[in-house]
Amino acid sequence: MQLCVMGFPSYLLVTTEDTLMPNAIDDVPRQAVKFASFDGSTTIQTKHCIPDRYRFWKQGPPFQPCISRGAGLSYAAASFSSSGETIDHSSFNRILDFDSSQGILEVEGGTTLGQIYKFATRHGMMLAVQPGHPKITVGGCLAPDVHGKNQFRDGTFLSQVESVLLFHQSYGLIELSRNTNPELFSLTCGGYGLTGCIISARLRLVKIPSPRIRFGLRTISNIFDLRGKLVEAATHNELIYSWHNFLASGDRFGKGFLVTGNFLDTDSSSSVSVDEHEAGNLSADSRARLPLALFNRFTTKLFNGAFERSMNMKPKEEVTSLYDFLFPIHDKEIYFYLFGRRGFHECQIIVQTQHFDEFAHRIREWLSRHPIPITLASAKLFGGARDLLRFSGAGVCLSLNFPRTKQSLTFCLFLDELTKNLGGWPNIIKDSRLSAKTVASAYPGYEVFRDRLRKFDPRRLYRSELSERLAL
Amino acid sequence: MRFVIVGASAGLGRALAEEAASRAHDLLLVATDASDLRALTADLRNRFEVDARYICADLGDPLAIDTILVAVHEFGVVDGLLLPVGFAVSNDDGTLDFPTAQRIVNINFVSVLKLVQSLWNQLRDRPDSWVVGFGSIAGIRGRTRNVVYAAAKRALLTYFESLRHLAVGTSIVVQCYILGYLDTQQTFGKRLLFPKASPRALAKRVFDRLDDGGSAVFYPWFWSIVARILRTLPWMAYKRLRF
Repeated sequence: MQLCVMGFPSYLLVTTEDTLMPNAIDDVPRQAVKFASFDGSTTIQTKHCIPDRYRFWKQGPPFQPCISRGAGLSYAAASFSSSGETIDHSSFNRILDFDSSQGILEVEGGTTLGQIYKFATRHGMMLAVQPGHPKITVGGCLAPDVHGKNQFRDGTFLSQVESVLLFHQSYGLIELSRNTNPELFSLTCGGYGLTGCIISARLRLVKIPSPRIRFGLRTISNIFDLRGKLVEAATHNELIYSWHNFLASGDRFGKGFLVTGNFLDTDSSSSVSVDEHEAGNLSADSRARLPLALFNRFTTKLFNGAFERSMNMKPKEEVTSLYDFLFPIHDKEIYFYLFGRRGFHECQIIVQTQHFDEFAHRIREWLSRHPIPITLASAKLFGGARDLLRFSGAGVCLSLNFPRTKQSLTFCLFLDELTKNLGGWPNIIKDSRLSAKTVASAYPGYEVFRDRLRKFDPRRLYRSELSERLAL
Repeated sequence: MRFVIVGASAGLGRALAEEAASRAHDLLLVATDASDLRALTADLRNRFEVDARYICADLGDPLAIDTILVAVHEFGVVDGLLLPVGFAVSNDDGTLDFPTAQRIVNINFVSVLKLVQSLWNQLRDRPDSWVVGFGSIAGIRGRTRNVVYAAAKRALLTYFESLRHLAVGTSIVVQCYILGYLDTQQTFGKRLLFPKASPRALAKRVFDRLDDGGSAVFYPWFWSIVARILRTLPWMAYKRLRF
């Protein structure tokens, strides 16, 4: 049954006998917990609850400011704030329905990409778009509308979302899709969890010939060699990303590799194991165990050199498992531990392709004067249109990781200015330091997003440190 | 094999259902909330391709057992009955109104008694069958914090001892786990004297040990020491404790 509630905007609400019952006594216990963002920038004490029954999702007062939490792996503090409680979705991780003929999978918001991988590959399918760690949840992908290694071909996570079941304290359960409540659907996919809790989603899977990938490796002589190779590779490869050494100096600055991936046909012989893997125990707490950072200019040079040598020793083409290709971080979690308690920055920026060489040139210039240990520099090709606060649009997307130090903030501010001058835009979910002013100037859809969100939820019940910092 | 799990929507019940399905056992799940059971049975069917069904019943109402029995009949032959049933309230300090006290006894003891009694003959006719109950450390000795709950769980422990006796010479294996703290909603956010056990680890143990014969074991094991101390504590000392 569906109905509209008088006094509220006309959203199509999903009502069942269960949701029409009087508001159950909320018997879910709360615990005071100190949450940290994955990059180590933000620590906040807040209330935490882990509901495990559907009776928790009841509309009506008392209204409580809150925000959903999935795996807690967002670099920015998107799943907690000091002014509201955190609702953990880890118990809502079930596979609700699967239509194998259409490839439509319905899952709860706390379901992880690893669970979906395991299920989908059994049926010769996969999610076309997924980020790099199997512990990330569907809600955690949908809220920031994440991307994978094929954004130029398949778009962002939104492109495979058929519908979403959203819970909001003021409205109850709301069905969202491109046809039902389309504006709210658009606001929710890439809405950073600010429109409510994602209870479940129907996702479109794609057929794959096999869970094996033909991995290709091409050398890049310097960062200025990237643009052409990336654009050229995009014409005949399914998955692409690059790795660069930003500690190499002079003409070798940004030397590295272009990594490509293409599915193997079923009958291709291969000895690659496609066993199911268990995701490593990655969390913001485990990441921050080391009291000191082990990355500095000297060790990072060694680290990058060792990685480069290991890549050079690999064959230029080999067969690898899809799991290893999709989730390259899953057995390399130690990389994040080496940043220690203080953590790291990730600046992920899209600049239009024609401006990329100037962008890289200015970064090289700055780094030659103010050396910063860049532990990771990686690029992907992006396409599509920009909308609201989604990290999308045509250009080259460059990600830089570096330890959080006194000097690192100066580099971040330099990148902000450079990005602005070249008309680029940063990724909100990756950079926990972005200000409302920076985001408002980089995202033409900022005001529209803010206005729509306030129109939908005048009480602004769903909030996080991210939303408060960005004045959303 | 085919199991009925009563109290299956969350916590230990859900862990048992997932463990059973992962071992390809078909299931009939019983709990109060249709939304939870619908989601859980769908997940088990999708992930493990087992026959997973559910029936909603409020075990506080003894008549609900009849509804469960109809569903069991439709489910077909049953090989095992797992009973992770539990209900407690925070103000069970001797001042409870009678309906609430009765509800605690009905859910924790009467429902289990009625179900086992109704299915005993059917289970006895199977070549191998199991009845697994879950007691509580609270049932070891009565105390002021959970007056009625402790009594109901004590009754359950005694009942399972009798069942084990009854099952001697039959094909039924009767097992009873006497539980300490489990990592569920009941213990979330609480400061506890002892560490919490994982429901998933317990569920795995239950299925690993199904063929070990009838038994009553403490889980985790160290609760057997706590229980022994509590039992041997003289009344003069025990009555001074406030816990």
